[in-house]
Amino acid sequence: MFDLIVFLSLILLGYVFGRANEASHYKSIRNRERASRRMEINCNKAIDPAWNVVAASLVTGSTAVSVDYFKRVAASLRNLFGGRVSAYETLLDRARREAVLRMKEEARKLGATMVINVRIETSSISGAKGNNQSIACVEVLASGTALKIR
Amino acid sequence: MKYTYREAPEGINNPPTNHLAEALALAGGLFVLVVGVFFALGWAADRLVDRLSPEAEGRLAAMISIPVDASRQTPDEREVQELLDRLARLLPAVKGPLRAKIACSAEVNAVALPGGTVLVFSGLISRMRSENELAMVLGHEIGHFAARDHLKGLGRTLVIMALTTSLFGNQQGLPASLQNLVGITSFRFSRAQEEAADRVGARLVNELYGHAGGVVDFFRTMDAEAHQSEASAWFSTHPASEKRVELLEKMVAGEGWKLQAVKPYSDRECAERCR
Repeated sequence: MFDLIVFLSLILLGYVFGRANEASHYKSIRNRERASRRMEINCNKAIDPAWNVVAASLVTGSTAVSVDYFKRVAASLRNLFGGRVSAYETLLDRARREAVLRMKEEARKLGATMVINVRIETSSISGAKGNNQSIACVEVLASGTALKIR
Repeated sequence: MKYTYREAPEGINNPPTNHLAEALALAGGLFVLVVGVFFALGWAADRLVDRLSPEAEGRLAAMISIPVDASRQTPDEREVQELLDRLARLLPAVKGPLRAKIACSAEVNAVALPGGTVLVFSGLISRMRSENELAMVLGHEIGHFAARDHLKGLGRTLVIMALTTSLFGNQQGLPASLQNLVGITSFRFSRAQEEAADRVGARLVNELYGHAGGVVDFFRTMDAEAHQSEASAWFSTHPASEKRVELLEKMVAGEGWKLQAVKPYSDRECAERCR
């Protein structure tokens, strides 16, 4: 009985805080995306010969995210039945956009005007593999070449 | 190529979903599934015990370490054993031999254990004033054996335990839990099972003695003692006694059985040993 109370309160805690956290994070993401809109980013590898590139540098942005207790339970329920793990989708979307924003921030601090050859990678960093007790935790890394064009 | 900023369109990589509703729907589905599996397995367990041979039952009983020592019986146990054998011979539906065992305990109770052991507590023996009364109790337990109730309860308990361990992890290993099984279940049967066993008991007593005297005596005693703590063990595994007296009296009247004088019984050795 005690275990059940702990379990349910953890779920409730995870749901309430996870939701509030997500809402405020999305608000911050949208604001910063708008604020950094002058910084062009793309996936091209080539540099236009017309550009007068004075500096080039590798820039990276990385985020590590984990799930709250509610999402963990919701995802484990989903594991039984199969299908889209929607509880994780918003989490990964946030992580991707946050990583790109951090990369742009680094580029801005270097005085760059654009970032080309942008790549986004995801890797699992959730402890022991094959162990059901490990918590889902991923790192999202955005990297690119920052260019200073005069 | 001119760069123009556009805001990232929302709702493609993070489609709007009500996570709570989704989780609740999944949990509900899981619950329905578990309940379905529970009933299916319980049903299968009931069917299975009907086909279980006495040998397999013996091995099962050995596994859950229930005392089955027929060789070393005390004088009182031999007396109960003799009565038990005479009653069991009247009912061919009972598979395998039954063994009587008296446990020293103030509790007033008797249980039918897997492996064919009838465990009677000395608290019950000391309340027996007639052999007919004891025969009724033993006949009731024989009724459980004939209907395989003792194994059906076990089967259902196994199903519950298998489900809980698979769902909530292996907090306690199954073999270890099996050891405690006798304590956990208390071998509680359903009301229908108890009433059927009562009917079998009364029928056996009537066949053995040629009359149904004494079949309700024990339940009357229990009724009078209902408020006492020693009697609580009986009521934890059996339905209320007044109902059973009523049913049995109705049965005796309906069958036209005679009620005659009962054979006195005394528990010399047991009272001595369990003091």
